[in-house]
Amino acid sequence: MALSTPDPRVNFSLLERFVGQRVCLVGRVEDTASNFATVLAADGGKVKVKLSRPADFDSSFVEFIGTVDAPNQITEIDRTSFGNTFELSTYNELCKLSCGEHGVIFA
Amino acid sequence: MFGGGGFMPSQNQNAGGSPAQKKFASGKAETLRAVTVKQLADALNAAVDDTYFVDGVELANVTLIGKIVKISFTDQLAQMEINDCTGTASVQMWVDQADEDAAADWRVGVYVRVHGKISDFDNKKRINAWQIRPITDFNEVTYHLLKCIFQHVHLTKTNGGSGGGAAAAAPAFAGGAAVARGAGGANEVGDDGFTGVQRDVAAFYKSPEAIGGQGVHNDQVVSALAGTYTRPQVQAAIDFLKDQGHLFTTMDDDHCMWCS
Repeated sequence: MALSTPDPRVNFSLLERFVGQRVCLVGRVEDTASNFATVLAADGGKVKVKLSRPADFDSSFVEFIGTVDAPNQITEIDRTSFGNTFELSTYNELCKLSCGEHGVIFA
Repeated sequence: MFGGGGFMPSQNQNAGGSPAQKKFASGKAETLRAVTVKQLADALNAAVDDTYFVDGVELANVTLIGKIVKISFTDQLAQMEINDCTGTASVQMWVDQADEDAAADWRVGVYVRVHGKISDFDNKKRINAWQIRPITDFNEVTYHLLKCIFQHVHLTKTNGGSGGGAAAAAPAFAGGAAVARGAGGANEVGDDGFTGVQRDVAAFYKSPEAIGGQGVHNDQVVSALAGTYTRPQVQAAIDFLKDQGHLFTTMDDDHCMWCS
């Protein structure tokens, strides 16, 4: 049982708090162009994800682990398919609670 | 498999209960707690002998979610590390013939739901799982982590006192301070979670003349509060109180009563 560095679960507006750090971003992949994907974050903001692997997404919702380059861009480290039916609005509440009021049980 | 499915109230909540309840809750209660890896790691660091506490309540069974980041099989033993973005937990499970099909789905990158107990063997602490199941609907990740927050809040905000969790938690701020009419402005949310207009509308429904009978027509509330609030303000407050379950409609959509 180890506490590796936590990857905070973020929406678009929380990104700016973690520039230079690792985060966990769940969102819907809207578009891909060359090695970038445009991802709709849980709060409706759009994040550019610099991909580290080919953009062969097999689901519309994806969890990215990445490093925050800028308040609207991350570089992918890892990805997990999150299926085609995922409730972003509920997840957005989780982002806010886990990075805010109840952060003590997450990081 | 596990009674109740939730977590048990803390020990001191039962202290004042009947002898039968006391007997039931004494010793190691068979509870199931939803936890993050961070909570588990904190519990292990603060362990007293082999007893682990989260939010002051002893852990028995735990459930957690996480993405498999490492996995190996030796004989019938599956050992893995799972990460839920708060930390990495070691999990093991003895796999018998019947589980082998299920085990075929356990791979690096797969999100799983784990049920198990903390085991301390050879000075290595890990979760000894009795069930590991791949997650297929990822709302379960959201759900689990929100449940961790809910249980954490339930156990920390109620002070382990008597009374139901919701009842004890809600008035935590009310503290006897009489709420003046329109206190805090019409749109400012007070400590009770209501805005001034919502509070006044609620007070009207709770007043003696509104209780009993067949409900109060919306127009009656509007005219009673006419000097203070506009019709749309009152209507919005009524809708809010309905949504929150404080009001229910009676003979038609325009008549409501307070859920006492």
